[in-house]
Amino acid sequence: MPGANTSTWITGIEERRQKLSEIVERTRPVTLAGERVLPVLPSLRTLFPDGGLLRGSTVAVDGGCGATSLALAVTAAASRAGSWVAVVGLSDLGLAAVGELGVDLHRIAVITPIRSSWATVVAALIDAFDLVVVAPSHAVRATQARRLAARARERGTVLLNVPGRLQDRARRWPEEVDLRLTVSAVAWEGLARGYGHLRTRRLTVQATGRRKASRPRRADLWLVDADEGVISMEPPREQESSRDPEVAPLRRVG
Amino acid sequence: MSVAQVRTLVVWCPDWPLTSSGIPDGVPAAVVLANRVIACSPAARERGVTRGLRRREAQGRCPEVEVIERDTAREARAFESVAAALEAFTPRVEMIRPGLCSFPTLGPSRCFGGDESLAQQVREMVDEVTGGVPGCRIGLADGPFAARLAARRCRDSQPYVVARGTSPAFLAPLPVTSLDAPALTDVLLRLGVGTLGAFAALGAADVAARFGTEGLGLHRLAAGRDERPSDTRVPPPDLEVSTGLDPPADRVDQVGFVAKALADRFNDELGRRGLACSRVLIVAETESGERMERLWRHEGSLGATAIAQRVRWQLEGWLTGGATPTGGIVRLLLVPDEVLPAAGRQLGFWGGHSEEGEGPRRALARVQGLLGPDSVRVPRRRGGRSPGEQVVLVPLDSVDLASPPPAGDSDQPWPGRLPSPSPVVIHPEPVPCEVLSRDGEPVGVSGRGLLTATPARVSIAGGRWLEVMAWAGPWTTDERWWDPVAHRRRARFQVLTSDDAGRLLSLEGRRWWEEAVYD
Repeated sequence: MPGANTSTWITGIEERRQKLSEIVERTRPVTLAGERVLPVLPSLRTLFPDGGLLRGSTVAVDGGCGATSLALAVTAAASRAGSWVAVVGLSDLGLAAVGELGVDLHRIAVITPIRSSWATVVAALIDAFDLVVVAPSHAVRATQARRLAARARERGTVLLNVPGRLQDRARRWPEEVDLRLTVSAVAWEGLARGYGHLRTRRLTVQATGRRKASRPRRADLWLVDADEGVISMEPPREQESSRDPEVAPLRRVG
Repeated sequence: MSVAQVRTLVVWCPDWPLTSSGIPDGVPAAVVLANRVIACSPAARERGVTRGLRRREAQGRCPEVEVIERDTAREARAFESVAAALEAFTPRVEMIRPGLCSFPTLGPSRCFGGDESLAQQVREMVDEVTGGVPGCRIGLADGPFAARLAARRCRDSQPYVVARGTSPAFLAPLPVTSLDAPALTDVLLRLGVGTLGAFAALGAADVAARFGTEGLGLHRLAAGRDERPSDTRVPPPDLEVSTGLDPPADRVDQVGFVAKALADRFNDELGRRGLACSRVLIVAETESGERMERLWRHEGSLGATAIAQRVRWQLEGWLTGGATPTGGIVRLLLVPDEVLPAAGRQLGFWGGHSEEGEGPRRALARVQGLLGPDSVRVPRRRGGRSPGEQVVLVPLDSVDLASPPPAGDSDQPWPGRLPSPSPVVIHPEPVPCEVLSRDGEPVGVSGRGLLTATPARVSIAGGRWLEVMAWAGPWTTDERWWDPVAHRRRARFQVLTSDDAGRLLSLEGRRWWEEAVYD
């Protein structure tokens, strides 16, 4: 009997140790000299030469449909680790989807800018936020972009540029960015001709950039796995896809 | 009793958030902060609206209630006229917050014919300034704490004056909850200590042993003494800080940023000497030499954010009030009027008060100053069927970022809710579109929820035709059928178009709309 107790006691210790190590991870100073990196989801790490978002860098996400989701997924892990995210523009963002991508909704603010004070607003946000997502609806001047990038570098903020609406996709950040993620292919799963529903999609993402990132990288991602709420490299589980598609039945509601 | 308490007069306008909004008498109205009622008019109270109710509940109990968002700037602005009027009695008006201020009556009461007469005259003056707002209460007693409780006891607008030296007797029968320290009073009540008198009767050493310095301070208050013994009061050293503004500032938010930096410096300076400030004199000077000063008092100690907020309040009243200054503000000065040893404040490790998010909060306040209050929004979970209803963006001002939001109805099952993943782009206004079958016929849905034809091509907002690669639907909803105005009957479709974009379309009243895009 005492032996059995000891073994449960030991597993209890193991569990607690596990929890403690998680807390240690969380409470460690965020900016040690060597690792000025904001975390990204494990499945995205292959795209980042530093294994995460390098503080003070500028990142652009572009490509076709799926770019906005990818950009928000990039912020997810950092947001859950305690970083605040500011989104400038994108006033039609569906926040339910943002939550599903794994972003902590208590640490995100959406700002609707006006064009004349756009740069001032972004600069003010760079001073205080760890991640600033900008989706300018106008062409940003190169000098402005350079100044903002310099400010972000100084403050250790990641400036993430995403294209706005689908029709604005041709517009690019006027300056060369440290890392550019491009969605090159999208394939949706779950929707058929007349039944099913959009369940998940496979994105092929290419990463190019300057310095360390100059060697192109590529990753195939599943966005979003309905159960995990985050991206996974594995396709969704078998029984998931074989299950009868959920069709919302007609009913009188309220 | 070593030192006699300072006779203090307290002017308290209950429901000031409401009074300052200028709602006429007799109209049911409620002021809400972060979706909770914080003040309501007598008319609303009669119909069952109370403090702490949620906005919806308040509207449910009294549908005609007028709901106003809290605006501390407006309150400060309106209270400035009261404070200015009180300056006719004494130069030492201490502001505690908009709606509540006090002043020591030693000099004024001699000049205005005794305590009773002074209180009466103050009441008449306040009535005149506020236009006879019902419920302005005046209390006069030994010490600010007793005076505040006296003001609370005042009925029918008659000032409540506690005779000199009788404050302990006045306080004794009052409930211990008047101390406004829930953590302590909760314990006291469970210990069977129900009144301030019973609490005061406990030995000071015992109270200190059980409840620490904080408890000791409250014990002194309950006994009708000053919160801090007079001999521990530190004479304020020359610690005033000032800053020049160049160019002169003529907007409150401009001064607000400067004030925050100045208050930080002020507090650092005090903190280095182990002091905290409980009363501060804020002085603003304009380029044409006008000067505006006010004394602000706080029960605890004033933090940098609190001081900056008080600067804002003071200037709101001045810059937008009746006697506006002729020039911009060129100098701002903070003078510590009363300091005390800093007891220190431990920031929460898990939960509680912490500095987390303080920086972003400040930056957002700055952005609000640039773009207006509604330009900054934060998400809050609500329940709903449409993707846009599940999480909504609410203005930053309507939520309290520091406290966790109450759990909404988001966990409840919402039958007919769209399956996840949710669309990333939701159009604020649905975009009209057209859906045609292979034969070029418009696609519709019958009354039984059946499609008239298979959708084959889609054109969004008159754009080019996109081929439908896959689709599902119609998912019909019939929402709020009991309400002729809000009733919506529509059929939703998910469509995958040839540009690889998933789209959420809906058919309502024979017209097609694009509601959202799975970007």
